[in-house]
Amino acid sequence: MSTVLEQFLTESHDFLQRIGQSLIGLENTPGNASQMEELFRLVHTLKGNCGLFDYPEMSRVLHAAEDAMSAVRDGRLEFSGELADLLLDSMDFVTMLLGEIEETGECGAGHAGSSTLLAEAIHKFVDDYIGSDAPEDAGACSQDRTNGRQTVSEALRSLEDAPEEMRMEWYQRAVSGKPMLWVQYSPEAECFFKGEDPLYQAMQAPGVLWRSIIPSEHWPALAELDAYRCTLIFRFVTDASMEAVEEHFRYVPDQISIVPLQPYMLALPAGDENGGPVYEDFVSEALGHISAGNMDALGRAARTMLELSSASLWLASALRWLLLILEHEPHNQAASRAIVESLRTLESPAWETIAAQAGQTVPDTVQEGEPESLEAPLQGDSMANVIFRAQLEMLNGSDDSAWLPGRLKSAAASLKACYRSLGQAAIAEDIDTSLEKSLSQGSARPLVEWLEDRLETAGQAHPAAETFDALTIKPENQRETAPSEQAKVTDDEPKFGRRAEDLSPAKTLKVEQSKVDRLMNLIGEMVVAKNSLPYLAARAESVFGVRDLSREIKAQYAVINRIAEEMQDAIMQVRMMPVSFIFQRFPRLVRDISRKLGKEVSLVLEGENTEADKNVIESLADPLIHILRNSLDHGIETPDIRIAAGKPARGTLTIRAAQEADRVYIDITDDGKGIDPDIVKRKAYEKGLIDEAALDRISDQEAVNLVFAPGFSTAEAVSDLSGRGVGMDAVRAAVEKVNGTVSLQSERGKGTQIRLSLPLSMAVTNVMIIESSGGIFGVPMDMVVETVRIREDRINRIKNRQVAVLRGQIVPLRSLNDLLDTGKPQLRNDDGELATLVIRANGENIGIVVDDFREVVDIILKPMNGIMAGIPGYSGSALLGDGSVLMVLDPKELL
Amino acid sequence: MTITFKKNMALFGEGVTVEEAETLLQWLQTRPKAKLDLTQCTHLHTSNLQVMLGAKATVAAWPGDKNLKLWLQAAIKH
Repeated sequence: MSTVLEQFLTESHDFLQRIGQSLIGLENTPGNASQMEELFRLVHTLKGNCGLFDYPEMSRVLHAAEDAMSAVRDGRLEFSGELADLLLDSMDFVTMLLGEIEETGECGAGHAGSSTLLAEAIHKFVDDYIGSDAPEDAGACSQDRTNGRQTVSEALRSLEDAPEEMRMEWYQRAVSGKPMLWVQYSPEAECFFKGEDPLYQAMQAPGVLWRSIIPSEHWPALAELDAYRCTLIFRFVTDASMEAVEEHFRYVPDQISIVPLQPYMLALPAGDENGGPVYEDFVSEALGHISAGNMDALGRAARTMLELSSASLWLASALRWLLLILEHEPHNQAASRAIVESLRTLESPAWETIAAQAGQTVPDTVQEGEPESLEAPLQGDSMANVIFRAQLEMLNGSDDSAWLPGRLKSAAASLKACYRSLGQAAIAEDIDTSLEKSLSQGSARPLVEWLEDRLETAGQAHPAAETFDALTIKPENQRETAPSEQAKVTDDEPKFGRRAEDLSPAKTLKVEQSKVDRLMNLIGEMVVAKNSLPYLAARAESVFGVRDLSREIKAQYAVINRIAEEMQDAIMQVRMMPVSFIFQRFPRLVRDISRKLGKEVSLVLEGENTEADKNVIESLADPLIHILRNSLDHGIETPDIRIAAGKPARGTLTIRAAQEADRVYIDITDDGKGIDPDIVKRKAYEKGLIDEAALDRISDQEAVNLVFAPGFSTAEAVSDLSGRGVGMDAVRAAVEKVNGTVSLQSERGKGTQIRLSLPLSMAVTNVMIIESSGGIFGVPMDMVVETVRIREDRINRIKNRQVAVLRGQIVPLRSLNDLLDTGKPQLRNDDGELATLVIRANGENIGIVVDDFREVVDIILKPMNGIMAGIPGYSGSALLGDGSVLMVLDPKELL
Repeated sequence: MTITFKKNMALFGEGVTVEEAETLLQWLQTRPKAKLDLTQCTHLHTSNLQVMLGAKATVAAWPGDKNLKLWLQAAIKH
């Protein structure tokens, strides 16, 4: 896994966490603008980071989420619980993908479906809310349309280069319903510097049937040619689906134009013009057939004409197309008519106009880079100009023919349609007047003059329109002609995204845990090495008899000791983590569960900055979630019950963390219905956990703590019991693993409090060293109650068990040698006393008889590894200052 | 380098990278009648294609790779 990817993963988890927090925060205070901004920025950055890698599934969902948030930020969409649900789902999805990437190094393509569904769900939600009342969207749409038509004409002109047979074959496929797309890929000039290879990208495009590469500008002199400025445009026709093409170019969607080709658009006759248009007889006859709807006759006429003409003629090509269209689309009169009419000018039919007139929705689906930077009126006018010029050319033909009236009427109809679409329907009257004049005079002159007038005014009003003669508008031009407001908007825009980096550089280092662990191990060894100095000093004095040296060694030891202790403390600090690390996931958990259960709960978190060792904190996560679930599920009542009980409808769940001396306390308090001690007692009795006598004897407080007893929590207990019970023994086990304890207090009807008590750090353990059967062992100090020496005559036997009475209590005694099965008797001291270590295990005091006590030391406890891990009775080992190994006992397991 | 420059003929190797476009351009600038042999070529970076087009270099032999050949011919016929 690359470093960049690793960093991406760590950062993304961070981002997701903060996104989750912001989402929940926003749900509580929907109007919080700064939080919204923060949220938007987070999602935006995450999406941007994601773009560095090839994870389209992730990008897609994040993109949709970003869109939604941008809509909320702009006030177009109201933030709601449903939206939060959707967005949280999306973030969960992203988290899942991240997990998968972490595990397998890649993101399975299998998620594409769910990714699309999620993205669509978000888009649909946004669209449904915004509906059709967004005028700017409508504007963008119409821009698309005009712009699209232009692209269509560009597409058609480029298609003329494709061989006729090829196009005829596509036509047949298109007619049978196959998608047929014309794609133009105009890579940006600087793309080589971004590591892109447009040729490769184009070559890999799916389903390419025909391709062409053209320069976007004239080639400069060879001496001035810049090899690293991309000036090529790639065009191709594909039968792949729109989605496939979009997917292929998913990283450069703004450089792609896609035109779905209607079958008839492929009918672009080409060939030898043979002296120009001279087929008027045929054209009038054919048009007559079309008007009469007599397609058979048209077909016959066309075939005859085709037989009479040379195959290489433009005419022949047009006739072949006509016949093909008649064969496959006999009802498409507009197409047939357009081809027939094209014989008059020997110019390919203007299919884009026909498509538009026929009300085809083609241009709607056209996608063009940066449509938002286009100015609608300008574009519209330019398109109109193109149409006007075409009409003008048509009208400028000879006047002395029978079909002049038809031609005039058709031109007038086109013009009127044009002005209507430009929103200048009033001009239609002018056209009608000119048309009438033309018709009465039997000449196209009046209409032509009127049109020329219009063109002139239009040209003055929009000088830029001149450039549209060429019909090709490069994205660069579009940017230049973009209105200034647009420019302003983009200037203000990057407050999000890029400028996130303007934030002051982080003072935090992200370090892998293994590195800190290594430091921890090293300082452990340092402490051990340091501890050998006193031994050395003792030897210097006793073996070598150099007292002064011994003293100097001791002085040096004091210095090293101080530094080592400080170092140890510093490294412990590094490992310390605030409890907020696990607390921060609770708002989401509480929200989700309470929503699901139909309860109203507010979560109060206190003391989130309390710190403890990372291992301790991490081990807390599961038990705490367990406790929370229990509180929500069984503790806090539904609103109606709460109101009936005279409590506020909204329950409160408080998690409070605090540090006291070397322990951290975490209290989880709810104001739910509490635990009924009678039910717990009865259940415990039924399960055989307590006997009949205990049933009456134990206090309510002791009774509720029975829920921690192993075996108490069964499914049956959960359903019958008023409160906790689900796996509380598991909670206790998890907490005890890190040397913590759990206690529970509950008052019926008032609520429950669970208190976890945990050590600040697990790294250093305080153990008492004891001797037994010639070896030394460690016993964790937190279990030791007292050390006593008991005279043998004070040891009594009850049922074969040794006991002693200590401070008025009967304490059972066990010999360590027996427990370890060494087979040796325990040694007595000179006074005939037995050294007894009284420890507290499982709630009662037990005396362990050993040979002798030694000092108490701080050690770094290493858990047993490898084959040793299976040996019961030991919690680990540690190195002592003299280099010997100390085995630390786990008395609970021993007993 | 995957392009081998002979006296008046450039032999393209398998994958011609973006770095070679500049060299190719300089070479073509001094040899207006140079020809290119693409037989071995399986891919060439767009920048090289652009140089070939800009210099109107003659392709003496098309690549064996069918797809590449189709695309190059689509570009060079213009």
